[in-house]
Amino acid sequence: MDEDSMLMKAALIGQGQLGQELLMKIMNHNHSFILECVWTPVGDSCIQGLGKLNISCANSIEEVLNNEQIQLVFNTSYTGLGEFANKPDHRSTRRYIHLVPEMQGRGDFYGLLPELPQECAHIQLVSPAAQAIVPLVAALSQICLIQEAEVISDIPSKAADSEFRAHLDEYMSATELALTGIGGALQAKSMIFLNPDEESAVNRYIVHLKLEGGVDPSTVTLSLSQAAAEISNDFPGYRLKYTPSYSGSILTFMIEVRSWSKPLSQDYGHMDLLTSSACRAGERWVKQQQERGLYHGD
Amino acid sequence: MGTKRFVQVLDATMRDGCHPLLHQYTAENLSFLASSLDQAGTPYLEVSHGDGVGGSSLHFGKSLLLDAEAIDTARASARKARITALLLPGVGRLTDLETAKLAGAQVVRVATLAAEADLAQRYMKAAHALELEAFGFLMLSSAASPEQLLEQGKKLESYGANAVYIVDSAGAMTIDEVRAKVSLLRQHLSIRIGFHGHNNLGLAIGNTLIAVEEGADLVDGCLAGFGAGAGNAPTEVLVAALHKMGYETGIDASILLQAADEMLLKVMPRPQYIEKGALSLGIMGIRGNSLFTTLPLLGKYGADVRDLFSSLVIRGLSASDIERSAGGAIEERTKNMNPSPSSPRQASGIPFH
Repeated sequence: MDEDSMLMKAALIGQGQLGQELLMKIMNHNHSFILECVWTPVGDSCIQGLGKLNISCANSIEEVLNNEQIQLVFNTSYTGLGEFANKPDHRSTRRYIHLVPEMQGRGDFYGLLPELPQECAHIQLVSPAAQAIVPLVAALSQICLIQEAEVISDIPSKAADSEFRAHLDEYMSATELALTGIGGALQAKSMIFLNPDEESAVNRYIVHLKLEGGVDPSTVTLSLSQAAAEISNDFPGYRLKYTPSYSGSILTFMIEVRSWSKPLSQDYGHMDLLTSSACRAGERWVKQQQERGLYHGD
Repeated sequence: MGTKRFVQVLDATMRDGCHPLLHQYTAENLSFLASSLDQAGTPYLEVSHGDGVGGSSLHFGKSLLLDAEAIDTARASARKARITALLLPGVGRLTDLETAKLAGAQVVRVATLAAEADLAQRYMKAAHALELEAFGFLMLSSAASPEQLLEQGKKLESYGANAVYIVDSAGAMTIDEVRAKVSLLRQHLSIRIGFHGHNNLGLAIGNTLIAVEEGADLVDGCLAGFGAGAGNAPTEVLVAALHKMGYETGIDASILLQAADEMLLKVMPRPQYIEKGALSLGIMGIRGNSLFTTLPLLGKYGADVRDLFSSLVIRGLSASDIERSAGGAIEERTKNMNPSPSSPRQASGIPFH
């Protein structure tokens, strides 16, 4: 296999802040799995000068779906999702990675599902909050029963584009599903606060977990710190801020996410987290395809 | 004085009063409040978790009653008053709105920070589809300029809001500021203007009366001032003052006075007063969304919010230092902390919407 045949042709749906950040990351990060990117701006006209970056523009989502060469689709748009739902996709080997909440498909949280079945076409990243917190909740679920898990997202207003603002309910509900599903909590709640303060560019998650009785707090705190440190290793902007605190059976902690990838145009931690996770998920799938000998090339 | 306008009063005791009660209103208390306020002729009664429908949580505190139970209880005790629910986008959802409607709510106040009115659009639209009256509720209006408030008010008007509220969540607005903000909105908007004051600077009544003078015709109070932080404009005092100034409210003030007197016996754990933390916040004001994030978090970490804020003010720090100082306070508290369970402590002195 020569160098180029290892590369994948990908499409990116949506031109909101998330779509733009992902585009920058894919193109500037020298990702080994992307040969060419087809960008599908939903609704609006194309940004000029993308040809130099090996990015072409499609006029519609239909055009992407009909392009047999595209094997990987990153979806960052709600408008896109609606269209996907109504259009059966004939390419069984194509994979979709959704960066916006959507009910179909399997969740992928920091490699918690390392071996995804081949037939699983849709991968869900759910929400930045789910990406940041579900791995921690899942780790703690291994050592104790979590009766309730609550995540409060504190996001700078300017980092929330119009699609995000118009779908707060969906973000909250999808995050809760992930906390109870893969996270393993019995109940979950999610809330979102947008911070209009101009000085604030930090993305934070306040987490409250109601634990079953009789759990050794130091064991829990240790597991939490280890799980968070593992993520910080790969995503250096991610950190457990302050020492976790107990109030009765309720464990409270805060995760702070600052942007760490230089190419990003904005300093928004949650977008960095989500787009980095998307790249990881894409890369892993390409590797998996190659290992299984299923990759066809152009 | 001559004949003056008709002003409608919304009583928020059953919502804002949730904060000092740590959201533990009983059905008995809600029945007492709803029937007394309704009997007096109060046109709007707000009933919800203190942070709006869907707010019952580990973060803000769990309600004793579900929102639907509380709304249904109040509705059953009120013959004429319109039951109002509060909804904060990001906390409450469309499903919560539908639940509130089914339980008997006829009005929703969609609450956003003053700069974020666009978040209200989706819920306003849903409210109209559910045939609910919908008010926009611009929290922390003290942090926005009159022009910014007007811009947000225009957005709410375009979403079909029946009223736009200027909300002094931190009780940090002064008389001239209220005058300027209300009058600008009155000049340029055709929908009703509302005002919701807090008493951190002792100005809840004064500011509300100024708002009315400048054209507000929908104003909030809580019986005996029973609300978050320093509390609100006492409904019974507000109505009496409005009447004395010649405004019509359609409310029988004597029934309110009787009900307010019973508050201490039946509902309030202590009289409402302006403690140092609340006063400090009134002096300092507050920005951003730390009202919903950092302040409840501080409580969970066992920090005394009143001490923290009063010390900030005494040291002459500005509002922009709040996040940093709060972060420092948590850092300080957890520096040598063993991760062992401690007794739960409640944050107090927190002002609220």
